[in-house]
Amino acid sequence: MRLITHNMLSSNIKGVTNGFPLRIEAEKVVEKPVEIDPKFLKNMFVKIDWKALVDASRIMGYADLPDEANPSMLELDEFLQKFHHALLELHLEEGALVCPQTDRRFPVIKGIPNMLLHEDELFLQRGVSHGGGGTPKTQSRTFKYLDLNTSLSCA
Amino acid sequence: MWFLCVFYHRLLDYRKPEVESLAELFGAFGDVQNGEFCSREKSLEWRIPLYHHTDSPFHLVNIPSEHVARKIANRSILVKGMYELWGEGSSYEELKESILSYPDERKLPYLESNSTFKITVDTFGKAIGQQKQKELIQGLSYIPFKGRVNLKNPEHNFWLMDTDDYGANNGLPPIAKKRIFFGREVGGADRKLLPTYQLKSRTYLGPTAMDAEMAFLMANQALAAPGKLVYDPFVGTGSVLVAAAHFGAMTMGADIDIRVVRDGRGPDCNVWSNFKQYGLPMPIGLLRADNNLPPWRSGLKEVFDAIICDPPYGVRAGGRKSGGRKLLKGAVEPYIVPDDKRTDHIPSTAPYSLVECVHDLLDLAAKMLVMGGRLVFFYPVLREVDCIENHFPDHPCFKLIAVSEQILSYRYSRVLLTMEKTCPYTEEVAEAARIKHIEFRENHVKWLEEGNLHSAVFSHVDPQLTVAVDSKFSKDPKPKYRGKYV
Repeated sequence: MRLITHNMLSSNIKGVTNGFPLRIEAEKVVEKPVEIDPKFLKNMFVKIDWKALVDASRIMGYADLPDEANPSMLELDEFLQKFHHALLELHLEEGALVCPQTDRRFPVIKGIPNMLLHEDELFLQRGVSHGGGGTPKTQSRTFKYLDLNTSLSCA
Repeated sequence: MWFLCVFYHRLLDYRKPEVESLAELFGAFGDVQNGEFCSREKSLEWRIPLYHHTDSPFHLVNIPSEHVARKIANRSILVKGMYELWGEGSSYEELKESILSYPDERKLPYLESNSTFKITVDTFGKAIGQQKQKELIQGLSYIPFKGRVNLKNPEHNFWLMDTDDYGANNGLPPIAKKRIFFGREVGGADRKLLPTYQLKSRTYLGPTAMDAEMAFLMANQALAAPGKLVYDPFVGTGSVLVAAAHFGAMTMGADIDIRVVRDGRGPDCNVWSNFKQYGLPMPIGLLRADNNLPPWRSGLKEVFDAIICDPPYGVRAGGRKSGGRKLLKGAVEPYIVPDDKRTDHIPSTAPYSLVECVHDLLDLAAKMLVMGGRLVFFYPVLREVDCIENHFPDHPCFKLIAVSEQILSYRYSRVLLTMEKTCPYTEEVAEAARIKHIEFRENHVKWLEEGNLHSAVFSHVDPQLTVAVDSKFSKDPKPKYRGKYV
């Protein structure tokens, strides 16, 4: 997992309001060289949460990113290199991402974060069913649209 | 400037949209480099040559410059060639007249003595022998070619294209009269890509890996290019992202199945190895996530330039989402995972119906695509039931740009939908989208039920009914010719 992915992810356990940034538990960090693409970096810069990237890169053992950054720095080759290295070349190969609010660990194995939730993390409280209503017999007709109901409550 | 655009005679519905998309990508509708998004009408002007019809491989298209036309043709998959048309006619006499009347200042720069050239005879719907081809080429002696012939690597390629008199055997409705074209080649598709990327030589395959040609078409519809970030929420073996990466885009993918996305079939047979095999840059992110509950941080908006995917629609593979069936129905309370089992717990999943999946996809795309970004995905259609024009899911943030049908069987097709984000995502838009979705769902009750599509495609036909069905089909007013099957 590169830090660009880390910068985009948050804990989406129901009820968690501060799921970002996920804390990194690094067991194995590797560096994988990637060809630099200045256009892509410039596109991404405005979308990146800078503080989260700086903190994450330090945990991964790379301390060269400045605390503050602004778009004018993208003209400097040196800065671009550092940004590129932190964003795309540092890999968390083994470890975990930890929800800052609940301490739930999302494991990262072979570089792939597993963001799938457990059954008891899908709903706001224990036993609250988003389907509601009765429980008619045929499975297909009563299939509930979790997203519809949740989008109502989140909106 | 008008060009003769000759297509490969396949995937007819995909041909013009591909050219239109590439025209957008290469700036035929004005420069969009500054990130300024404008929603003005963006389409090319098309004409059909005399005596031809829409399904013919020959089209005339107006493109601002030869430079853009060349870029479009060279990047495309379905354009056999883009030509500056020097002449056309229904007989070789008419052709001669037409070529002779084409302005000299357009012709002479390509006929100079220090240049090299080649003339190719091509036909559609018939074959011409070597001897006859030679005669036809020699018959062009009224054009003052001064350069040297070079068959291997000529500077200028000229094409003489002949069509059949009568389209009885080429699967198209008959054309009234044949047409002969002569033109200078401006560019053409690099079909060598296809054998390079063909699935049979790919290491890691799944049951629904996307065919290479289609994957490239999808990437073209999505305007994949260097500097862009392309996301596939149903990445599987990565077959769609491979095409996007080939065109220089950064790629990112997610899948709910950890075995597919992480483990593959071993250290040298997984999603990563599929990119390595072609020397492409690896995806910048792969993760396991549920499209129904996407794990993106809320502050993250408009990050993807395109979302391309082939959602699971339950015909060859069914979708899954988090939560058990009973849990989602409210019949049972959520299983509380004991603390000591949390690390290795495998969460249960439930079937993920097509409409729900498409709704989530549209919602995600509306939130996460940049303005002008594209959502490209396949949507299944039952051929007997639906007339395909007005049954597609839509969203207030998106404008439907292209609808391309690929017929898969007698009973069903899949349609590649290309949508462009034309309006920013707001709470109000989300609400409007939700209402639209409910309407859509009500109109498609039959479809949203899990398994129905599968049975509609695969169920056994009652022999007693077959007769009635047959007679119904023979009365079908729509002409059924091979057009879309090719």
